[in-house]
Amino acid sequence: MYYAKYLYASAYAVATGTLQMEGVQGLSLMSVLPHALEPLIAWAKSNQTVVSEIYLRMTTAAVYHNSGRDREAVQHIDRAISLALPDRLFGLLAEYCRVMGLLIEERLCRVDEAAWQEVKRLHRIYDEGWAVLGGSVRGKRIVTTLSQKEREVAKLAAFGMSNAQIAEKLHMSLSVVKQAIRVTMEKSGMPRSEFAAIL
Amino acid sequence: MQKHREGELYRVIALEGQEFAVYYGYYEECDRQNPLCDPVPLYPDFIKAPLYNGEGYPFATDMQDPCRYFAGEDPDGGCYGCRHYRRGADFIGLCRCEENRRNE
Repeated sequence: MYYAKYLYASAYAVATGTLQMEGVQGLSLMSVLPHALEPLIAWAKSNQTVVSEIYLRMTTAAVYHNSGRDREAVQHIDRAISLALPDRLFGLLAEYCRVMGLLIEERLCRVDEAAWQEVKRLHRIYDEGWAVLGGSVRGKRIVTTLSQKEREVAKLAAFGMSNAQIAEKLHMSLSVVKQAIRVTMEKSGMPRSEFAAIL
Repeated sequence: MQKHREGELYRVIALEGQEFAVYYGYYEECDRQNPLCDPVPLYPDFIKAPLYNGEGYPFATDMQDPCRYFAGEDPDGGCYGCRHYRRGADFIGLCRCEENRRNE
């Protein structure tokens, strides 16, 4: 049961673009996931739990899509769309636009273009939320790679202090402050103006 | 975080036919006294001791105070933010500004 939950959690994370599966481990997990998800879909179908079936089909489609198997992915997307449309469950489709936006657009526009416009609108809202959340989660990961000095310097830089002001405040040389800023930019991949996102 | 000793070799940076041996140390005495500051890689000061490549362009560092020909948005960010600056290796690069080029 624990392994099944782990597989579904991994699949969902891959499907919504919050987890990148790479390397040998990624390949082996990606090959296992569809086989683990198909029985769950059958269960949802037999129990007529529409929302569960949509989620499971879209997650399975995303896994197939990530593995380059778009033919299988499309089969699940089409079925999920047919389940979602009658009750306008567009939010469930919008969640997967991060990794399958083009596929969803193509399949949905064949059936109902107005529905695609709504899904696109919801996806934009979700994406803004993910940007805040993702930045916060990624920021927490970056912060652990910074030294205490770099964190202190970055914090003051995020407040808008100049290098000279930071040097004076922290009783450091200007050279050390500038180097710390540069190192933080390199570690985070972010410009100075966006340091607030990583702290 | 791994701590480094003062005088320990950080790395040798090769660029444009030159080799720069960068060691750990303190830029100023206040850094040595500061508990937040461990020895850091001490990059060459190309303002005090200018060095040019074979074409006459000066070496510079990302963090170096930009010159009067700085072409960028944030001079506080050093030469790194200037469009004339070309990153080389690590934090050492080259200034490709024609105004700074040494004519021989």
